[in-house]
Amino acid sequence: MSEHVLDWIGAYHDGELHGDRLRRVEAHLGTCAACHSELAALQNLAVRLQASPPMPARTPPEQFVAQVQLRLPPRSAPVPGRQRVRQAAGLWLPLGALALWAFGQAVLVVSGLALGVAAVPAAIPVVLPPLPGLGALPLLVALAQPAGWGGWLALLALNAGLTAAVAMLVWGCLAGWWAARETSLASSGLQAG
Amino acid sequence: MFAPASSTSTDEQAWITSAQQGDRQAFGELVLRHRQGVVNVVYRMCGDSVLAEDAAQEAFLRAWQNLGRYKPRFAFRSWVYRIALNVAVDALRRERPTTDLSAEPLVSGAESPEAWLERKQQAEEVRQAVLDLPPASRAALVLREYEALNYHEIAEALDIPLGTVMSRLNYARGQLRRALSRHPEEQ
Repeated sequence: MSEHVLDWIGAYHDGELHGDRLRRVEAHLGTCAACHSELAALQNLAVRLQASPPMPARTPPEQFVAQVQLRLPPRSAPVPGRQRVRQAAGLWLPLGALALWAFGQAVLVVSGLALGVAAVPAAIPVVLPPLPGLGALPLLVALAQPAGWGGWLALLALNAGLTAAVAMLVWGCLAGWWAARETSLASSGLQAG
Repeated sequence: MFAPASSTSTDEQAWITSAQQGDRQAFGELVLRHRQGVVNVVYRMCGDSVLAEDAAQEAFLRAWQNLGRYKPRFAFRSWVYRIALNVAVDALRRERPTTDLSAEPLVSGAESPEAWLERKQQAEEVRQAVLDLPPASRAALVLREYEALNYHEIAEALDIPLGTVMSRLNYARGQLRRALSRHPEEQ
């Protein structure tokens, strides 16, 4: 007699076997009383499970559907391409401006530390050795060095102006994004209703 | 080796596409088509008809919210059953099922009170034995025995390989046979 097929009897019972595997299981079942009895037990179990009553309908189908539809939150339709680009720009533009501003501040702080030391000699004659990294800041050096403290004040004013511009840009974009979102939610709610 | 999976019908696919764009009417058609199955899956998982309808509604709400993520290569039925199974497990964690008197069929004129009582007792034993199974095996068994899903659909619904479907079903049936053999049905 061939090897028992106990692992495959469930799949056979469910009609899930095909091809060679199906033929082998069928051939074995024809000769093996133990496996045949296993199949009969599975069939008996299926009958008992099916005898367990299904859930009685509490709510008529149409009422159930209406209840579900009433609970559905509004969902906006897919955003058209141009609007998507506008939305992306509304998000990335202020973020980019913020990143640039942060970078500028970092440059200013670093150059301020360096130039603060290097620019002082214009007013107070102190001789300092050349500082490494200063070559990366020729513009700031050019601005600050000849003008001395005046140059620094100009730089600070420029920085304050830039900061204000970036802040206005970020707040403007945030306000635009919020207004667009409110409009979109309102229109989807109207469509849904 | 195993039978192929069934697919989503054409009209159902059209409803899904419309519902994905926010069409509530189309989603209502999907709810109507799958309501019975989803309610039954939840009921067989948690054994409580009061919990089942609420949980089924919750399952459809989650389906609506996640419809954008549905991929047409899966049968919609498998996808929505997966959501229903998750909701059923969540519902069971939140509250214990009650004794479900409303699910009991009334005694019919054709059978004696003794026969009715015996049938009711046997049905309760089966219900309890199913509820005693671990959730993973119970889910596979419910989808196969009560919803007649094939192995591919069960694999999709539970997100498990075909071999695991087979082993979970074998395990569930073995456990049920042991549990029910203590109270064999008189035939």
